[in-house]
Amino acid sequence: MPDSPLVIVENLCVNYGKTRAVRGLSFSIPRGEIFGFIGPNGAGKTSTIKVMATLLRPTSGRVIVAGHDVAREPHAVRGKIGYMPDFFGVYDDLTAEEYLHFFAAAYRIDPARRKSTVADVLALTDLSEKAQAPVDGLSRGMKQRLGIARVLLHDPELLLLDEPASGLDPRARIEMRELLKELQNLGKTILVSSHILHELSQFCTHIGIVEAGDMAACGSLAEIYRALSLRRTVHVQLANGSPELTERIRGLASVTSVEEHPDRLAVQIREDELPLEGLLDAMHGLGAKIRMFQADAMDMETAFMKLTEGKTA
Amino acid sequence: MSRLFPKLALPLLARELTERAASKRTYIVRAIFALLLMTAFWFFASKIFNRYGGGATSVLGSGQWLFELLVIIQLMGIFLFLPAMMAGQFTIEKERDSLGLLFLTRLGPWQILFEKYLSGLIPIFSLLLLAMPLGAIAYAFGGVTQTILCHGIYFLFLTSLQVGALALMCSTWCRTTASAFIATCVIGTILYCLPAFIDSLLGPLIGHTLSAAFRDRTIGICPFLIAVYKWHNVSISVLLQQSALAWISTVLFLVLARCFLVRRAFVKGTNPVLVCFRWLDGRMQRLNRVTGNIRIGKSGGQLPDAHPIAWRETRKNVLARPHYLLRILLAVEVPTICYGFVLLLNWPAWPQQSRIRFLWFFITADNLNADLTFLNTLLGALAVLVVSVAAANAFVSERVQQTLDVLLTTPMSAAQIVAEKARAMRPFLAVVAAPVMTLFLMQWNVKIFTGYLQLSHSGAWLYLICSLLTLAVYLPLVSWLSLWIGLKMRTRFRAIITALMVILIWCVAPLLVPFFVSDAWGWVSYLSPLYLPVINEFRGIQWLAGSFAWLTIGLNFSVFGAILYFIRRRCLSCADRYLRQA
Repeated sequence: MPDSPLVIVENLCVNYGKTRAVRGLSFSIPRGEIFGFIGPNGAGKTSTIKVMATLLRPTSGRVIVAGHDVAREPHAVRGKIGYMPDFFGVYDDLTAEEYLHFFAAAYRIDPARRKSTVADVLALTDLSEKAQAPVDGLSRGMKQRLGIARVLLHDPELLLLDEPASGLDPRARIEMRELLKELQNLGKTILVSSHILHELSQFCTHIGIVEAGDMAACGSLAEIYRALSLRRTVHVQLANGSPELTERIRGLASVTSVEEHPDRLAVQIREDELPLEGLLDAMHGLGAKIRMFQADAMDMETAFMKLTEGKTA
Repeated sequence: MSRLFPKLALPLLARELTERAASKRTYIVRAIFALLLMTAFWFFASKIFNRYGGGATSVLGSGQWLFELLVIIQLMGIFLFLPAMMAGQFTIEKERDSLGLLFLTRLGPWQILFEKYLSGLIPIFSLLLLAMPLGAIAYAFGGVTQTILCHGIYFLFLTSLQVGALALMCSTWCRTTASAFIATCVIGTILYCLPAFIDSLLGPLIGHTLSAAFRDRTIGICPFLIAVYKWHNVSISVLLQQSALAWISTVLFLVLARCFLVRRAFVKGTNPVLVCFRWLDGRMQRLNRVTGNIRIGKSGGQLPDAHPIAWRETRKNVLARPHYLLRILLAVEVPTICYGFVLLLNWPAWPQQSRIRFLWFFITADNLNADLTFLNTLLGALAVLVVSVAAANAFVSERVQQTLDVLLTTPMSAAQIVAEKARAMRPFLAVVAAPVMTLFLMQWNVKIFTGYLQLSHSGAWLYLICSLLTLAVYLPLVSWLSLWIGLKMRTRFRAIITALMVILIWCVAPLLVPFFVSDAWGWVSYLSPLYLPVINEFRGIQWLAGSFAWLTIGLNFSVFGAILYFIRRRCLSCADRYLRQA
């Protein structure tokens, strides 16, 4: 069933004693997508991911991964997923290569194939030079990449990455983002939880915003954006800019404001009413000669703040 | 007070006591201590009443005996509770990474040390105060003089200070609470057994007159021993003189704690055995250039095949690498054999009254066999301790390092993971069992040589089979039991303490039942794994069971073997539930 979603979560509830960590969560992840799981601390993200990783039994509800129920067929699910927890625990007595061979054996990879598989994932994560380095001596960014290499060993369909970018420096974060994009190109479905909202908006195709165990919003970025009626800013540089032309742009329908900067105009629009290409056409219609037309990235912080109230489970 | 004398504010002590007061555990420990104390006191008091026929006037004057008993029970309580309460004083701060913050305050290292010391001592003093009503009852029976009262309080006070200072020193040295607790137990045992060690182990080597004199001079390091032997009819000045070593050791521990507090505040956890072995590895590699590269077994370079967990445990764990295990074996086995031979060679010249008075069951032993038994008991206890700690730690270390979750998402089942961990323990068990088995065989030889056992009689074979079965069944039992407890626990300290306590209670409690209740309950003793080995060592199984000796041995080890099988099966069948619990 290539068109059916890879992950289906239905009315998932997870309780720890009297504490209800997840309260009836439902969502699905289509194949080949990067699903960003966003929420404040204590929202229930890690509990949900742990249920998908077969580490936690759901109190009620159902989670299907690649057609297998995680509660009934955990063994089948484990072959389809690669899980990287939020804290990267290491065996400090192993080298990077030994660490990967250890997990290759645990994943029951054919011994004849292990050496080439380990070399491949080391190359993919750009760690070939560190193969003989002790795991404990690697930087945090390298450890995270080694964690990604580990989850790729058995070629899983779904990657569950819990806060993979937390604590990384800007360079390591960019490298991680590029690596995730590359994995998506390889056809992997990825669920990634993070607090760094701006980063998620740059590579996630779908977003789920969860708060106090409930899903506050779920869908593609554009859908969430539209649902919230958020405004989008477009930076425009005109070759024939004039106060009259600025006024005419300001008068366009669905344009909420136009700020004048020394080198450009910042045009704010309601995107659900006027798409970006519509704005471009309308400005051409006004006689504007456009030298630059650049839309801001989605303002995830605004969306997040609007959708959540700071509650925890 | 703090306004008038700002230096007496003691903020750390106030915080610690407030935290303890807010914790449920404080009240649970207090209730358990009170319960144990009162139960033990009630049993002994009822024994006295029974002995004197129950008449009110007949028991008058027995208060002294009761009071002494109360002091001994409380001293035991201090040994049992204080190390556990004090070992975490600094290690918990290290584990939380909050010790550095303490150094940034205006509190100096000495003040931090003393406030932590006091915060550990005050709760134990509050526990000791629970015995006041019982002390009053003992006093009411008569016979408790003012000297005995003062001496009793002095012993309790001094022991608390000494044990507390030792645990505090270990807490400043170690990185984790579990290692600080184990270090306290090991150093404390060595320290308190020193007089007995000197008399028993050095006697054959340096002569018993000299060793006894040395023992009498060093007995003062242990207030418990003075309390047991020498607390009657001595003036306070003599008592102070005798306990000088205990005071000196207490001060020394505190000074060392002060030195370690800052120096070892941020050290990474290092295994001293591993450091030593790595140093030895370097030396051996140099030596190998001369000897032409001789190798005994491979320890590295290989990659895992079908059993990754067993591979990591046996190739990378310091207590499981083949050549490291060989070194540990040689380090224990060679001195054991040498010492055994020294005992055998010197035996005819020994004085008949060479006694080890430290442990009650050695009191009647007065020959070579007693010294071998002492050494065997020591090695056996050590074997149980290290096996239990290693097994209890097997899964807790995975939880603490946060590597367990990742393992559980692999296609390996939880039962396979548990089985591989247990499999990796086997070579270690063999190494630990080897010196104990050597001593058993030596004792067997001595018993035959001295005519105590005869090869033509079944007694000789009963002794040998019982000794070998003790090792073959009990060590795996300790290992699986501790592993089971470790599977359920989330912290190292709790897992190790629980495993050791369960083993201690299982071994001792059934032996006490007939003593406390009545001889009709003698069968309960069989529930203790210790009972048959102890009888085998001191009286012989035939003394206990007559012509049913073989049956008794068969039944005993079948029952404990069945318990071992049950625990193993339980660990494997419930592994998934234990390991995946939130």
